[in-house]
Amino acid sequence: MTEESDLDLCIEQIRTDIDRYYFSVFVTIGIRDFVNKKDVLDLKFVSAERKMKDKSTGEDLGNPDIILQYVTTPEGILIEFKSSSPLNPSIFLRSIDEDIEQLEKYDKELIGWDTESKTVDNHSIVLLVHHEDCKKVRTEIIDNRISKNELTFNHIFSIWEWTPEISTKYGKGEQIVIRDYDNGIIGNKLGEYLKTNDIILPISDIEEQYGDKQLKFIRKEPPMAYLIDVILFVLLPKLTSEPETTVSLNDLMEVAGEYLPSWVPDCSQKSQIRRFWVKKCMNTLKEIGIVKKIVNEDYTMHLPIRKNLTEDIMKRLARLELKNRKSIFKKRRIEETDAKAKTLDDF
Amino acid sequence: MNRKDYTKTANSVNSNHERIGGHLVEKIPYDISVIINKFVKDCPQKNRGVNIDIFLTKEPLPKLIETKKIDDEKSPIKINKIIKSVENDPISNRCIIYFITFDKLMRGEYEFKDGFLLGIDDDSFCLITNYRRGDHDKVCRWITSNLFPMVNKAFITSSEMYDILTKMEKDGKYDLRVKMDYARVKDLSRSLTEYFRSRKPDKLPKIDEIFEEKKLSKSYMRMMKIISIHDQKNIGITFTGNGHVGIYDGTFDEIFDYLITPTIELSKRKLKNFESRSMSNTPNKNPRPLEINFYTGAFGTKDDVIDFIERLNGKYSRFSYSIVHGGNPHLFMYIMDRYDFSTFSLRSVGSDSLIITPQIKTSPESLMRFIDCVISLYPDGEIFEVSR
Repeated sequence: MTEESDLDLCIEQIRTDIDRYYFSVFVTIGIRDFVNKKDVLDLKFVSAERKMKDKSTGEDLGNPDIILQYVTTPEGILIEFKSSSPLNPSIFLRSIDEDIEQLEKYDKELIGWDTESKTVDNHSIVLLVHHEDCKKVRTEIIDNRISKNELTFNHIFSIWEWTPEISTKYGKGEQIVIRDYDNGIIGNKLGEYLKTNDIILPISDIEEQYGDKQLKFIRKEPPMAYLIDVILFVLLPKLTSEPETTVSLNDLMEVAGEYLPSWVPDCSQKSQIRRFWVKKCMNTLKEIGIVKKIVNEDYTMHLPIRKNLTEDIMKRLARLELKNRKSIFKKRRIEETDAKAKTLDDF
Repeated sequence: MNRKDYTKTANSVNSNHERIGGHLVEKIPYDISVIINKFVKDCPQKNRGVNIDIFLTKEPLPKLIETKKIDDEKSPIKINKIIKSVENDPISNRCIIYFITFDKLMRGEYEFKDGFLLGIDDDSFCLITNYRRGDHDKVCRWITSNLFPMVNKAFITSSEMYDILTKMEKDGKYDLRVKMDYARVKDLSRSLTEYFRSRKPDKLPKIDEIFEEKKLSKSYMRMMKIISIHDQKNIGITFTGNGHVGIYDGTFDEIFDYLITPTIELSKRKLKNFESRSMSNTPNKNPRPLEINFYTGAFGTKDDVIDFIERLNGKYSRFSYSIVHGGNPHLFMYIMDRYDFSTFSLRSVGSDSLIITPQIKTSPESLMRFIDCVISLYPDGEIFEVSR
């Protein structure tokens, strides 16, 4: 494969990742509104940001992307988005392993629910996958692992697929449809509902909340290019009017806390954006030459004069990615040669 | 060097020594419009007439001259004379006039030309010249690109053009006929129609007929060349949606009252409507978005979205953008105005509307500049408040 097509593939991957994340936020907003509006389901949206802990060990198990809970019965549903969907098959498999590792963490008795005891009697686990990846993911998880008993869940586990569709019903625009091919095995009222219905989320309602109410991040770490967009186009203009400027991490986080507040007001986190994301992002911007200098947590940056700014940034990110891949490959080769030499020496 | 000095006809009265930006202000004992009317009359009407461009400004013209150095070395504008009227009639109170000489490099030599900047009130002024259109536009572009966001071009939509012209016809008792028009149609191609080649003046179409026809063919007016066929009231003008008026017959007074003043009023109302919309300017930090509705469904497909971005690239200057979701067919993108780092997001709703959401910092001027650009690309657009 030529270097150019590698670069194109890399850019394509960045674009897909941005798009998936963007819609993950949409789906989260959509599900929140859906369960809060549909009283018959007896469900409520608990959080998109809450931490779950192991009941027996107290170990921190991370933050599920969406936590739903039944109002009258002590039962809940945890929904996890399939993180990224690498086009490269071997990296794709690795990403599935990562997802399963995270899902297995939720396959325990958990503390962190919205009840007095912070626990529920039972919960189900859902993996939410974009329809383009759904077939691959189902084959890998269900056919190759669960059916062969290589993987077992103690709780009910289901894979849902989400897909943006052009709507005929809503006339003005599109909708996101969530389908459950396992036909409502998650039980209870939502399970009954899903046996005969799909979850339909009209995009025009969601867009308004994404655009105007500034719900732009879910708990999952966003792709770098997505975060860069928000920093450059939303946060930074509040702090500066010059293309060459120095900003501090604290100032950025303060603006983020003020204008991109958490989904739930009582959350311990002030903003949807985490401090370490921004820090990591600034380090990457340094590597791609947009941040010129980092002193402590002050960043001196120079915005490139480009019309399509993100295209430019995506190219830089893709080049960096390829460079990193090459160096990993080189390192591996050196290790292999060393190992070989060692064997020869032994011989 | 060919320089006409229109002020020589005036018996100047220098009652006190007021200075603006280092220039001595000359006081005249009569109305300023006398000078402009004479300027308009003296211009070779058969050829190109007088070009007028209307601007909105945050600071009055005299202050602009002092603070913004509009006649520095890089500027095409060189101030020759500044004149104020000492008369107390309403018009002279409203108008302050500045004689300005522009120079431009031509075959290595400076050529001097005369033009005016006419301060109309505290928030608007006009650029008036008798140059060829290209030279006039160069000065215009210098003003918009160097004085933004302090200074903004006026703009009106196709339907507002219709309202202004019908009111002019009614109030001024003109019989206006269209010689030529320039419109945009649904596929966004341009169409120039010349009526005067095949018809006698009294057979030329009326304003109503033309707008009715455009409505039927779903095309939208950008520029019209109009004459009055009334014997007593000679008038010949070009009128465009982007704050430009050309006079090749008639007096400045008439054009000022019927075309320039309403254009300024409508543009000011628009600019006012763009204020207090950014997140840092609203009490609950919720931005107040604006919606542009298109009758012709400009965003039906993914190709339409690509086409929109290409058009924007060609027309809109000094901006950066980022496409988060680019079509299929829903669009979400960020736009940054590089003049003042204002940012806003754009999203398409269905095929016929575009919602502009101001972000944390968004100036009304940058919103106006962007919307002016979108309306000139898609003239069927009408601006609405997003209903909640």
